[in-house]
Amino acid sequence: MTPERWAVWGLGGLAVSAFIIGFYGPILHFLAGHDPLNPGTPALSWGILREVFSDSWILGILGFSLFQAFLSAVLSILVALPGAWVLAHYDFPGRRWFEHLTFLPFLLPTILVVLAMVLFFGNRGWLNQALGWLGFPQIQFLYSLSGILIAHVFYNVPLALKLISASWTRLSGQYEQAAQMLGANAWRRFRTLLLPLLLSSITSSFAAIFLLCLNSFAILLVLGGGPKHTTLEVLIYQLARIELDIPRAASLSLLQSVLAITLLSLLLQLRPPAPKQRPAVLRNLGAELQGKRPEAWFALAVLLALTTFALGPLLAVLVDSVRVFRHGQWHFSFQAYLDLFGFRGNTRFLGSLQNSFGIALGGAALAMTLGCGTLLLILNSSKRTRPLLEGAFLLPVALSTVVFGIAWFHLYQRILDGQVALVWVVVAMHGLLVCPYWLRIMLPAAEAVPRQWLQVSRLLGHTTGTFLRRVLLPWLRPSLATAFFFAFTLSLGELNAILMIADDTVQTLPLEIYSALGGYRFARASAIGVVLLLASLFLLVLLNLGSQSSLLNPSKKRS
Amino acid sequence: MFQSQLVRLLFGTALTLFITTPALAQTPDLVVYTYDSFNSEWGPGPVVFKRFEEHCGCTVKVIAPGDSGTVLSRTILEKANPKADVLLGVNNSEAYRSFQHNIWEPYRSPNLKHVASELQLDPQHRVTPFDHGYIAFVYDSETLPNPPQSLEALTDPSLKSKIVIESPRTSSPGLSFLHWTIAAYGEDGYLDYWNRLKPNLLTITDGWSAAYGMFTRGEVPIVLSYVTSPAYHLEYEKTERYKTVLFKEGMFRQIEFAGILKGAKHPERARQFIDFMLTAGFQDAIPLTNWMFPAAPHSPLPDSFRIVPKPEKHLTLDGGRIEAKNADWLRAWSRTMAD
Repeated sequence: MTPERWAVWGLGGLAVSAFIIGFYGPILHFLAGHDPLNPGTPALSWGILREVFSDSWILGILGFSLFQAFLSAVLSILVALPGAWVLAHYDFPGRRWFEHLTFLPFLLPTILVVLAMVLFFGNRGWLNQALGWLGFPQIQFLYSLSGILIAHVFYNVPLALKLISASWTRLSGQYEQAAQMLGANAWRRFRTLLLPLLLSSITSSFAAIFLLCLNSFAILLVLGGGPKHTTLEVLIYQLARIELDIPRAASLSLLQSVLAITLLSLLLQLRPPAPKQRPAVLRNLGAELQGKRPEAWFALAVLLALTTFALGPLLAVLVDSVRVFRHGQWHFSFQAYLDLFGFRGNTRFLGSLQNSFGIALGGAALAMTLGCGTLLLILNSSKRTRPLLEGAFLLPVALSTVVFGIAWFHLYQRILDGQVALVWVVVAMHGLLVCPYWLRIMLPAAEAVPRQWLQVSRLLGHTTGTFLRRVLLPWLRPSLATAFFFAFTLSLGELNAILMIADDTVQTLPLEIYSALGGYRFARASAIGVVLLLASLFLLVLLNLGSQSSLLNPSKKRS
Repeated sequence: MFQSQLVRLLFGTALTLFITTPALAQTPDLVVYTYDSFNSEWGPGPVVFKRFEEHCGCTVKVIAPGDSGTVLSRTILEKANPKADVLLGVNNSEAYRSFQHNIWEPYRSPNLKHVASELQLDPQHRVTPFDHGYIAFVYDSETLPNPPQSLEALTDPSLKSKIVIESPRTSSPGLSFLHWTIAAYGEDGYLDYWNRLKPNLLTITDGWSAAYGMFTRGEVPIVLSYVTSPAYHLEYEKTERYKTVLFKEGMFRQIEFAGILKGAKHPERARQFIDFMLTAGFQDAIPLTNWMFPAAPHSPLPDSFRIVPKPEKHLTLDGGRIEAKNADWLRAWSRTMAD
């Protein structure tokens, strides 16, 4: 066997065993067994499924869950496309910071996203106050479907922007020039040329965003204006956590995820032609603005709009963290930060910060390891098995985290308890939960690697190691950094899955935020959010320093 | 270059994890489950558990993952092999679930003599009350000078989109409010009441935090919270701007209980803890840290509680009825509100 075969089988086998042991095993074992609270009744019965299918109310909720996730994903991609176009075509001062800062919304825990949306877009939020000040009538965005969509777009645009701009940047401009010469107008060029070429990254971001929104919870309830916009996830939570009707919760969750994965598998079968790749050639935005090119002005407008949209609500959180309400008025104060860092007494916060970063880094590292295996398997699979594999590796995130947590709870109780430190169990859970997202981010980049490179490299007498080091890694570096960072972020914010087994050794930041909010400490919760953003931003800068690819930024040297 | 950084990163990760992995220190003499805000830095937890450790000369391990509903569910799921000795923080709207699943080891504390009999809801002494309060609508007196005085007045058209409440499906004050409306309007009338209330609800949140955050940031002038909430603002923010009203129909009580779990590994210590829970060392910390009334008051209430009105009329819902009907009520409520 060649070394490549070894890598595929070794890493792929590792990933498959991890998914079986950590996901399919516990879930199937749980579903095939008995209801843990009513020994004697099977956990899954046809009766429940029949009941679900004959209940138009539940079917309506299922439909709405899929519908809002679909709309959210489509809108996020539409909003991200102009931004991706700018990033693929222009260089401008602060470009790197623009890329970093537009990442931030994705980092904020959902409860803070909800409060940020209220502070910024709410009836008495910044936007409406500004409108009122300028003499315009107020607009109500929130507490309806539009509220859900705005929050989901705010949250998920970073993902779409990053994925699509990465593949757009790699596209050779030759195609467009040729089409232009043939007289195709801009819309036609976009529809018939660009869209198919970007399809891989678009479908990948669609799948990831769709699944994230399917499991969205707080955003839906609060910003959707109450039960008229309820989703299946809310019902699953109610059944699993409040009524402890675990069989029904598990059946609903399974039904929803199988449905979602089937739909996504159809979408993921759309395979784009492998486009010709070449390093990006970026035009200087400043120079073109001076040259009064309308395209450049459009690019500037897109940049400003995206920055405002991404940073406005975050700024509202920042402002909220540096104020206290005293004697009936708001005052400027760093109190929350002083408390956090223990300048006034003891604090557990630093411990939680360390725990959170440790777990998230571990989770991301595991996701990357397993992700490499799944990636190799998928790239080496045949046309027929590929959709099956992609679906199988996506299923863990389509399933409700509440149900995932309960399945693991049983695994933990029976086998792991007392054998392994809890923190490793949590890392393992997070690794499995975020691996599918890592995969979705890496897949478009990995597919874009021209196949002939390996052959050329062989002809040149390179070993596989040299090929990896000299060719593949430099090419994949930026995507690896992005994927690692998203995996890290998702693991950092994960809370639901671990609640059933957590003890005081895995106190993390999301738990800190919830307990601060539960005790009237809203400024503190905002301050924790800000610390989380800054610490993650620091990591992002580090990762990007590490992934400065000589392939992707040759324009810097040229200009 | 990247590889070496990656290696360093992974190495660092592993190191961090090793550092935070606790050296399996001494085994605790008592394990307590409670909800997250009870054991936050400003909650009662750090005070009362430390005092108990001093009192008993033993060590206590406190685990507080999530809100009271989550912790109760986890305890029920673990009942065959309980991790904790004591579960602290189950309220009367949730207690029926714990009774259904038979998780308690009854214990009658001699200190119950300090507790008013109306708080002792469980004649079998499976659970012991440690504090109580009332859910209530808190309002902003600056933007709403004439607050509603009754449940019925909450449906007044002048309050359109001015109220935020928590969902009974996911939150404990939300569930208590649903029970309140059933106690006030009966099983025949509560859905009709909710239909009339619906236009005035700006939104229904998943938990107390989102609702109360929206309220204090000025998004709505009325929020479902606790009758003691104004005392927090008076104590820490020196303002009487946020107030609450006693409703004409009568107020709905939340009583919080603790109990010993069946199969507890340290039953003796657990009984000692339940006894301690009703002494001054525990009870005096409750008003200013948990914002509830102590079940066994040993000292006068703090000054900031002067803003809290004292309800005279109570509404209650029989525990057995909740146990039998709760799932049906929730289902009916969800469907009514979805229309």
